[in-house]
Amino acid sequence: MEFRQAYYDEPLIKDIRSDSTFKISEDVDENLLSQDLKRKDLNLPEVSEVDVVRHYTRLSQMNYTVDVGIYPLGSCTMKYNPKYADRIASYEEFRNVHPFQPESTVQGTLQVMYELQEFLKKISDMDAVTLQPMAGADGEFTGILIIKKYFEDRHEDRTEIIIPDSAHGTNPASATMGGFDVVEIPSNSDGMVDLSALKAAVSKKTAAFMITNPNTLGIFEQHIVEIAKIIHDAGALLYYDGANLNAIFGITSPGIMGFDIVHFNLHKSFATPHGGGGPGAGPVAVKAFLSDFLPVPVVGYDGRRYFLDYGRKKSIGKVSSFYGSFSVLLRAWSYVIKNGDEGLKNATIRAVLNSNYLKKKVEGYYEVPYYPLKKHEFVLSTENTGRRALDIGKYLLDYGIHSPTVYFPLIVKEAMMIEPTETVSKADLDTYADVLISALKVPEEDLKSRPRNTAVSRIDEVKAARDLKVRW
Amino acid sequence: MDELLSMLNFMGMKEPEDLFSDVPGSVRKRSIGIGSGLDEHQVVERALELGRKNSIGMLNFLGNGIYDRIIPEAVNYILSKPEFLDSYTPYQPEISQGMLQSLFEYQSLISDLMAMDVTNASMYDGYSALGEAARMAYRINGKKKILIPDSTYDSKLSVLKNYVWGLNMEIIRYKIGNDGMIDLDDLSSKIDDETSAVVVENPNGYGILDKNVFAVKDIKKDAALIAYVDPISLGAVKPPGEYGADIAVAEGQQLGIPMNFGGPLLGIMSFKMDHIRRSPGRIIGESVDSNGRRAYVMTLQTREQHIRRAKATSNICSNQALLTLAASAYLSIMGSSGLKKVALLTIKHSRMLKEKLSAAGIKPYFDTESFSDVMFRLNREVMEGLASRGILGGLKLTSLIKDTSLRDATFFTVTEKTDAEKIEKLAKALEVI
Repeated sequence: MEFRQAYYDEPLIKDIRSDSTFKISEDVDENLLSQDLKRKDLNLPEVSEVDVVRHYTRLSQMNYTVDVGIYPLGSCTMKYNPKYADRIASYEEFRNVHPFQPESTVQGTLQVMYELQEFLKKISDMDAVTLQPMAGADGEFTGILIIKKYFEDRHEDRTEIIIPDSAHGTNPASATMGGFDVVEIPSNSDGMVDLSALKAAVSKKTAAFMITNPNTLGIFEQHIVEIAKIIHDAGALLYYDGANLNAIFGITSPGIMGFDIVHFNLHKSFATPHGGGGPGAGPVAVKAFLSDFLPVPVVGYDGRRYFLDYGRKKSIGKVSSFYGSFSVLLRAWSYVIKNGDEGLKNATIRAVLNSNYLKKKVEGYYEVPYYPLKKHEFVLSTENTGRRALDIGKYLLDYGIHSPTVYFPLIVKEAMMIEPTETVSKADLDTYADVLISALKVPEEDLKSRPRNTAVSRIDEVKAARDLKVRW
Repeated sequence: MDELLSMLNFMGMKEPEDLFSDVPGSVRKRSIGIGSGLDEHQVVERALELGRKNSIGMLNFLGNGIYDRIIPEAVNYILSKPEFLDSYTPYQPEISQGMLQSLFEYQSLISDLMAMDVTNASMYDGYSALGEAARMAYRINGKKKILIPDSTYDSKLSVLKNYVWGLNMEIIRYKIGNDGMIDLDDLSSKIDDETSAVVVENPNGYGILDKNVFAVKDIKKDAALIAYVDPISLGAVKPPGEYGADIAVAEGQQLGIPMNFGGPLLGIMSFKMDHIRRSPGRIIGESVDSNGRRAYVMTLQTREQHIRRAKATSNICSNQALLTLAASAYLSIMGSSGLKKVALLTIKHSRMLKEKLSAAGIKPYFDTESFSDVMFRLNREVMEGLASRGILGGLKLTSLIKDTSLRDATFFTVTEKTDAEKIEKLAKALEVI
């Protein structure tokens, strides 16, 4: 497929000079404010509305989107973002609502949140939900604080969180932010948790074990019941990183597997737009014995009206300003009611099918280490090909298709972590496989000169870090 | 379905179930239990049905963190572009220059607005940005006491406490005086060699534009100065960079983002260049491509969780990229003149509100200049009564600071939208409640 991305030598907005067209008619005295409060000067751009729109439209044409093609970043679940959800999120009835309005005036908003809480409970088989965390990592941090408070309440001094070496980087970072020491354990030869290493790591200092299942290799942790037993026998808690939830809708759930705390990434599994890096939403669900520790408020319902429930005696308090990323929650709610039981399960089946199909197409060319059956994503290594994952990723861009995540997880050398998601056709997977394979036939110098068809060619990242030009 | 079967066949499988042979029977789920899905038009109808249970079109005098301000329609339009809306973090910079340049411009615009050296590519919201700022202060000086005014709201304090809990930092409150401004003597007496940071708010929790904030740099000793500000006010009011702030944080919702019941928001965080390696979050840097063209990339990633893991400066990954675009588009459309007008109109309206409500016997708490949130002495509950008349407002300070001694303090909030006519309506309604 021929592809060429638009390129504009687009000036910075401050260098676009056209007079501001913004207007508010009401008069105001320029010297209203007393001298001692006044700022010296302010040099924001003065640009007409049309020039601002043209500027950002030109920039937009230099940005890849899931609306033009496959975006198979591993553990990122870049599925198609349905347009009905955008429409719903644009309704003034939801947008134009203040967080301190009397509850009687926001019953619709509260009902959406309450229903989403209930949906998340059913999907995860957990007992209570907070919608407050703003993103996946914020959900992890919330979970870590719940763990901390739980053991403080029990007067147990547990200082360690165990994490597998294949874990997302946010896991150890969240644990450290909560003041825990991170104990990393290796994976076994199947790419799963090494049970003997886990047993050796567990002690009375262990507060929790944080894992995702399937893990970042896309492999289902088959010994999850045994893992849960090891952790619970030690008096510790089991934390589910929900980044990979798209692999298990309707198949299994964190609750059934024995997890005590789980976060959801609504901007992944629940198809809300990722906005070029956010906003996300990272609700957290817990088993009943941890319900009293959740952040406040959660949304309650007394059979007659919906309300903000602050009644949690052992609550960790608040983790963000208000009640969560409402417009993201609203989109996720609409995604769930659109899909229902069958739709969600079918999404998982197709996501897992797409991942295994693509794996099968490329595995004669690339090594795909560890246990063969994958879930929603798989990790290949380019090491056996003598080429670098980075170069192959750049080569893909030249065909108007996005690179997988590269160099993660850390336990696979020259890793490409590929998550096609369910919203990709067989034809698109075939094309993707063809391009991945054709990369091996291209001379290495040629690969190093990629990409050529994108807005800019390979960027000097060392210079960026050395010069640190981080503003105009 | 044919496609599905042919793909299964290709893998030597017979049915979808074969894809899950690795999931032990003991953990298999029977059914989710949500019920069947809906058709698209039914989803939209259901959403509208719930949306209509909200009261809309009300006159808004609520604020205290979230504000009902003018949003140019072009901002909404730019945010709806799928190239921004439906893209991921720009991990492949060559194909993501649009978002990267936009983030670089955001960093620059906010740095100019704050008069600070550098701004990161966003935090979740104002409160979490404050939490991250406190952690950053600890990384800068290794000290553990944080001073914060007694006018800070409980929920902000709670978020801050959670962010510094793992570091065992101690939070100490200092006083706001009877004029609604920092009691500099009290603050001064509480600063010692163990003080990591002094947090100042401008406007503060009582809505006051506080001149004493500008004097804190002279008494703070070696502590870092963290300023929590209102970004709209900076259209007219002295910015953190002019009074010695090391770190400046803000809630950016007012910069082109709808209220949305309080989320998603935009956490703004700016700091001195000296501190950049100790800062959390994404930072975009300018570089060149192999053909010498100007190009942008994520830089200093060795501070971040996906590289540094347990030693990262923060766990933040997804942030508020799309909302930074709202702020950039908003600030660009407004320009300095527009932003200044919005700020001054807000002050004009807050003075007007004080005058009108005073005439109706409801007196402002302080003579000092307020910005959006104006605090009055009002002993009765008026919120529900106003709501039944189509007006939102009358938030009690006790609902923001539970243990405050100012039990009768009640807020009415103005913006550039609440003009004389609207204020008149509020004053009239209050006369009969």
